[in-house]
Amino acid sequence: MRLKQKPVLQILLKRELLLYFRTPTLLINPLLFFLSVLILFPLASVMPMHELNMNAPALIWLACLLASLLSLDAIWRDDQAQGILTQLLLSPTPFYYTVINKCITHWLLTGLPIMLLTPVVALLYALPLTTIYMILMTLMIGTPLISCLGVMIAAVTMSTKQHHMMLPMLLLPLLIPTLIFATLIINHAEQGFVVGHELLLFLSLLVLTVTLAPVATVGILKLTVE
Amino acid sequence: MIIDQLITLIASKHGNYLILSYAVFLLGLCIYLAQSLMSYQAMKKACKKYLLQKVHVQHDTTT
Amino acid sequence: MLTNIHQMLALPKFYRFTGKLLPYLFVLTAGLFCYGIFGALFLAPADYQQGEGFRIIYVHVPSAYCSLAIYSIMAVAALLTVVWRIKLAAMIMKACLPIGALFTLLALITGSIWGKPMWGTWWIWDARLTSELILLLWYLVVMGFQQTVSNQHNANLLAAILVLIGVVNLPIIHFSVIWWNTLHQGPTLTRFAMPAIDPQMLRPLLVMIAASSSYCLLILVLKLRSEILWQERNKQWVRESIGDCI
Repeated sequence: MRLKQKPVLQILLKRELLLYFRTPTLLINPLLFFLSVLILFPLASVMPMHELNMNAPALIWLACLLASLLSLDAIWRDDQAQGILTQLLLSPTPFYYTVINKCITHWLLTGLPIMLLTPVVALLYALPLTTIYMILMTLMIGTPLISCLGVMIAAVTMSTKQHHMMLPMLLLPLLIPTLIFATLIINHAEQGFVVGHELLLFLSLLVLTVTLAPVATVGILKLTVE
Repeated sequence: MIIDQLITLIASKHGNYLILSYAVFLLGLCIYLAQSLMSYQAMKKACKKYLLQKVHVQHDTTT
Repeated sequence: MLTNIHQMLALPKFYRFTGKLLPYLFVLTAGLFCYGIFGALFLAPADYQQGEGFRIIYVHVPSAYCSLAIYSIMAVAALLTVVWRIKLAAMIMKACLPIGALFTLLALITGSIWGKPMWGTWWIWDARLTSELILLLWYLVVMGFQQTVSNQHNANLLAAILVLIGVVNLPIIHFSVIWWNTLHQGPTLTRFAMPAIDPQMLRPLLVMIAASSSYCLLILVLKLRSEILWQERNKQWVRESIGDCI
């Protein structure tokens, strides 16, 4: 008997979120890393506040990328170790839902909290309101990108020997366009230009990735998981 | 005559950059070709050794 | 013709064919390089603006061209590996990786040597240089990745998928000088228009590109033969072909 599609997604999502909430350290780790990087940088540098201001968007984005890398490492591993991945691959419901579910979970537990923490960080760096708004806009488009691409690359590196190092090495070149777009948009907005069309271009990149990356992940896992 | 022309090139305004780039290019290609040839010969030798070992093992198991 | 190609893909025949091809490839590569370098250094006239230094184009453009061409060949081989699981395609993809990385590195180094006298800087973060650097990183990362996967079959498949994912870089590199306002000069050789370069300068460039391509083919053939020998070492045809000439 084949379950209806919508409840399946909700059931899978609920399971993932429960697993994460039962071990709170998994939730807090990426956020603590994000905050640590952003607190350590002013301590390590002797720049005055107005110069820190100029570097803040780039720093926030870098910290976001690195924090997402932390939580992406184990995203497929537990399920594969317990054999749940094989079960999901063999079951009649499309595997696409599992992949989408992983992307949504990662975004809800890493991307969204980072976006919520950004105003707090903005206080530390004394950023003006328009910059904060622009950083939040680019994060809103960029963090789902990181999640989708990250889930795909995590699927590729899942069965390798040094997955801790392989994942960042494979993911960061793919995220360079995202980083360039985001910081470019924030820069142009700070200089006073209208950035609507650049944001739309960035959004189109997101739409392309969200459409293609999960499909690629389904293919990858079907090929490589026994 | 070619040597004269070569010396003119090296002595020109950006001559040392020119020679540096050609040297890097040609050296890189030659070194890589030498490495490929050596690994190709080594692979042939390794395969021969493997086949000889297999023949010996087969003889040992049959006698 | 398709049956001919299919027979060619059979590894023993392919091995014998490339064995016969090898000496000719050596001669061709050496000859083209000699003529190309002679033409580059002595036959081509000096540039009006850049003087003698512009001759770096004759090593920089072939390297850059080869780095992109090899990636395209790898991408086609990767597609054949993932969709049709052709063993030879997997071997071609694996053999192309180091050559492509070498040419990308050479393109970056010769380009930066050219940039120092012409632009005043060894490096600049513009679109073309950055995307070429990303291509080099991607080559190195896929090479490293292939060696860490334990299962051989999975290693080829996953590496092929990674190569296909990296194909998005190719249009970015190629069109970067048209899409963005970069320091790097515009395209010299376009497919449909007459090249915006003097024919006397163009001929050594084409010869050097041909020489680099034949060099790539030579290295590819050498590496393929090694790989085929190793993977088929248990088969009868290998014993017959090398075992006799000990």
